[in-house]
Order: sequence, then structure tokens, then C-alpha cells
Amino acid sequence: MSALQARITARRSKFTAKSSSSFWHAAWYRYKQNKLALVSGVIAILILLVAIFAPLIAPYSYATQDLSQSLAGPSLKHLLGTDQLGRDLLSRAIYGARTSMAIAIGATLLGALIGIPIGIAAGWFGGITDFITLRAFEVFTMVPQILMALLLIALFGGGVLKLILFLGVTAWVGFGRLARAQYLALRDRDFVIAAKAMGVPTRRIVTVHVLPSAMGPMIVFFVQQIPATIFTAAGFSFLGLGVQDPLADWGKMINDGEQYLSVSLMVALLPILCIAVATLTFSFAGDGLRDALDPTSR
Amino acid sequence: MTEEFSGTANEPLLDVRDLHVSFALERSTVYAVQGLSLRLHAGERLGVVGESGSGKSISALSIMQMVPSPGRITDGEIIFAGDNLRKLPASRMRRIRGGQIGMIPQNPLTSLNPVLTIEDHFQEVLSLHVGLTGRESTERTVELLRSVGIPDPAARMREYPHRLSGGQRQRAMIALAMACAPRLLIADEPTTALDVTIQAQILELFDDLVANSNLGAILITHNLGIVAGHCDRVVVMYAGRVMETAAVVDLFAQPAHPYTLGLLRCVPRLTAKRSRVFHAIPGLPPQVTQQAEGCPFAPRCERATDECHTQTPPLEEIRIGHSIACWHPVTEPANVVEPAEALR
Repeated sequence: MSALQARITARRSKFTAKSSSSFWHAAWYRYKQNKLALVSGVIAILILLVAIFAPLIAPYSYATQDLSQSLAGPSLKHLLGTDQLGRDLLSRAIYGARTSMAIAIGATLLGALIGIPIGIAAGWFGGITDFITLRAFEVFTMVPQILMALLLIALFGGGVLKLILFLGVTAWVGFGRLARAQYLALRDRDFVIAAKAMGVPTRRIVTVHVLPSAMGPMIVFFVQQIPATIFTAAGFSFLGLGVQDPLADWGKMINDGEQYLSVSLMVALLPILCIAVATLTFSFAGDGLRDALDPTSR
Repeated sequence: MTEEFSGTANEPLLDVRDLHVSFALERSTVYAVQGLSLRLHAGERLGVVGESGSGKSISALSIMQMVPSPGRITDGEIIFAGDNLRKLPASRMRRIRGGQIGMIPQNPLTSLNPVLTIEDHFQEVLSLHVGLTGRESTERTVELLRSVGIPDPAARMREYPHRLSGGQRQRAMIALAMACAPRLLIADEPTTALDVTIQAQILELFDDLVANSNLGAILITHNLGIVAGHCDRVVVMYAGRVMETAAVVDLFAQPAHPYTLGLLRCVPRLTAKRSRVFHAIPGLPPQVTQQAEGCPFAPRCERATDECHTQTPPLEEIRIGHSIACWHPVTEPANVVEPAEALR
């Protein structure tokens, strides 16, 4: 009997600890319930870890050539075989994760850094600031992001850093719209007016008082933008406009492998699988985050 | 007329003179406040009563210089402790808000930021206005929360607002408004969102604070019972204008404006016979979209004559400290409601 009692007490104290915690604990609790999102989240984090520690994990460098072994099948020496220049496919896929992730996260982050402050200013101040920002949104939405980035690449050339820059400056509109909508909705809330009445400076209200409430949807949007950007970046590399040889990138690997499909399926199939897994896991994790952070959105 | 009725010779803490606030909308302009004048001395509790849309809350926000856009103060002066608040630069006004003038909001349930702890709210205000940080700030927070009757303040202050009850949250808001020892406290319907039992406690707390800190307080409400029990003087507003202003006892004993009389008749009474139908003033308050001539209450007033529809009555003193804006004041002693009775 006393064992049962102890268990009940333990459960209860655990329960009180849970309910005393705030919004983020509740969100984590909801996220855990969604098994698909949980598994996807774990895989997405693994992909990120592989990307970060690529030099430690990859058996070869992405550029090491072994021409005598070109287009070889899987063997003990090359676990997943080699490409047309005899480069280890596994190593290239691992380094490819690095490039793809760097571009996807870098460009999305840049878009967020540009878009969020502009959106906040528009939503908070309204009036003429809002009017000008809305017109800017319209102009940028009019030109498709891919065309815009294509034009910039055609003018200034490709490469990882330039790709991040071009995709980033064209990705800000989404973040801007979202931040504007959030601040527009939050700016007349009672706690904001109360903070004003307490003499809190505007800069502090915008950052300390409103930003945490506006953060959830922005995080979700950020995570959901990543797979889209992986895809776009891979597209550019596939077209030969993005990452240049000998650097590995999933999109470029598909481009390389496509010409040798009749000889070796693996050369094209591996990067395709990588892109599929990465986009799917980030999408599912993003959807799970959305449901966890905003349970009313479903 | 404002010269005489102040009663005391010393400077008033707050002196609002002929305040006009209007909202320029796309097709029309709403004249929310039209010529509000009021005076408040330290240690005095002024009640502002009126129906919804009579301009009570906008008047309070005007004093704070926080009229929401597209509203604008178009005329008048707001003198607080010798400064004309309309002419103060934004940075000085910001220091007055929360520092010199405290405001208790209408809805305590939504006026605390859900992502900040109670202590965070106090820490911010204390460091902004009085430069208290670290342990000093924590000690002061505990002291403030204890003074408004929150049990176990040291533990409660680390909680997020949703863990406190509505009454406790309003107590915390009051403590927050009082944190920097303001000279003026504005309470905008502080009890509308609360239970009746909690209402009484909160209003008692309000009385104690005013009595102990010698501050001037403005209590905005639509409840005449609250005015009777917790104010020294009253301003009755209707359609953005002052209809009547008097000491509480005087107003309840001898209401001179037909509108005030109507309001007093509407107060339900426990002593009344069961069969008695609730009294109501017929009609609705006007939409103040034009600066019409005549008394705004005329269409609903049983004493209205042609004069009332064409000429706006000025606010004139009829007795010492008792002014009304009416062409046909009620002269017979009405004695509709005793203040004590209005209190339920």
C-alpha cells in the first residue's frame, strides 16, 4: 500500500512540476505526442549534426579522386560506390549535407533577419511606414523568387556564399508579412497598453513585451522555410548555377549522376534520397512545431 | 467658474481645462470629449461616471497622453503638478507615466504580460523609474505585493500571471501602479472584470492607498454605488461633456441635472417593493459625430424645451462646489437615493 502511495505522490509532484512550467513545456508536451514529428525532428537534428561534423565522419575528402575506381559499385573501400571521377559517394553525400544545410539555413536566417525587423516596424508603427512596406511586399511578390535569384546569379555568379545572399534577400517577404501580421494583432493588446501606461520605452515594449508572443509562428515559419530552400538551392546547383566543382552539393550530384544513369543508378539515386529525406523530415518537424506552438491552428 | 469651486487655495494636483478630443474617421469625425474641465487635489478621490461611450476612458487616456490613433487632443490644457502635459516632450511624458501617474487598468486578466513573471513586471518599472535593481528591487516587490494583500509574496512573484486569480492579478496591477509612489492614480473601471465580493475588497484597498499615500485619485466607473462609497467628488459625463459636478454627498442629496436624476433613479434598491419595475432612461446615448447645437441629453430629457435643442447650456455653478450644464435644473430636493443605500 505504501509503495502505491509513494508512486501517487511521485506522479503528483511530477504533475505539479509540469503544470507550473510555462508555454514552452506545454508545447514540448504536445510535440512529443506527435510521433511522426518526433521521429522527423530527431532525423533532422541528425542531418544537422552530420553536416556540422562532416570532416570527422566522412571516410574521404569530397575531392579525393580515384580514377581507376570510377563509377564503381558499393564495396568495403567505398561503401556506397564512387562517381565518374572515382570520388567516394558516401563522403560526397555527407559533405553535400554540409553545403545544402549551410545554404538552406543561411539563406532562411538572412531572410528572417531582413524581413522580421521590417515587418515589425510596419505592424507596430502602421500609417505611412506600413503603406510603404506593403507596397514593397507587393513589388517583391510580383517577381518570383526563383527568377529574381536566377537574375542575380546570372549577373554576379554562383557559389555557396552568393547563393545564401541571393536566396536570403529574396526570402525576406514571407518573414516580413508574418512579423507585420503578428505585431498588428498584438499592438493593441491590453498588456501592451498597460506597459505603455507604466512608461516602458517603445523599444523595450517591442522586444521584451511583444516579441516572445510573436515568436512561435516565426519559429514555425523558419523551420518550414528550410525544406523549400533546400529544394530551391538543389535546383540551382542542378542547373549548374549554384555550387561549383569540386565542392559537393546534393543538387549538383544529381546533375553529375544524371549523365551516368545507365552505368550506375547509385550516383543519382543517393543525392535524390538525401534531398527527399531532408525535405520530408524538416517539413514534418515544422508541421509538428506548428501544431505544438499553436494548438488552435488545426 | 472653475476659480471658486476648488475650495482650497493651494494649487490643484491636476487641472484639466476645456479638453477636446476627437477621432477623425474616414467619413466623419467623432467628438469623444467636448470641453471637459476638472480639478483634483492631493488626497482627493474624484469619481467620473457616465454610460459607455460618454468619454470617460478617453479622458483618462488623454491625461496619460495615450489617446489611440486616429484620436487627437484638439484643444485644452492638462496641467499636472505645474506641467502642461500636452507640451511635454515624449521622453519626459514617458517618465511621468508609471512614475508620477499610475494607472489601474480595466481588465487585470489581460493586462499582465503572459510571458513575463510578476516579478519581471515590477523589476522593469522599478528600474525604469526609481533605479532599483537586484536585491533592492526584489525586496521592494515583496513589500508591495504584501501591502496589497497577496499571500506569500516571495513565492507568488515568481509565477506567471495565469497562475494568479483575477482578484490577485488586479491586486498585483494596483501594486504595480503604486510601485513608484505616484502622485496621481487613475483607475479605469478597476472592478468591472471581477466578482462582486472581490470588487469590494479591491475598492477597500483603493481607499486605503489613497488615504495612506496622500495621492490624488480618479476613479472611472459607471456604477453610482461605487461613487457613493469610494469618492469625495463626482463628475457626471454624457456624450463627451460634463453634465454635473459636485461633492458626492451633495450630488446624492440634491441632484440638479435631469440626467443625474435619471441615473440615480436607475439604481436598483433593496428596500423597494418587489413588484417595482426597474427604472430606465428611454433612448440611447447619441453618436457624437457632429458638434450639434443644443444639450446632448435633450432628446431623452423629459424637461427639454425648444431652447434645449438649439442652445448648448454652459457649465455653471449653482451652489458652492456644485456645477451643472442645464437650462432647466431640478430644484426640488429629490432625495432619490441615500448614498448609503446606493451602496446596496
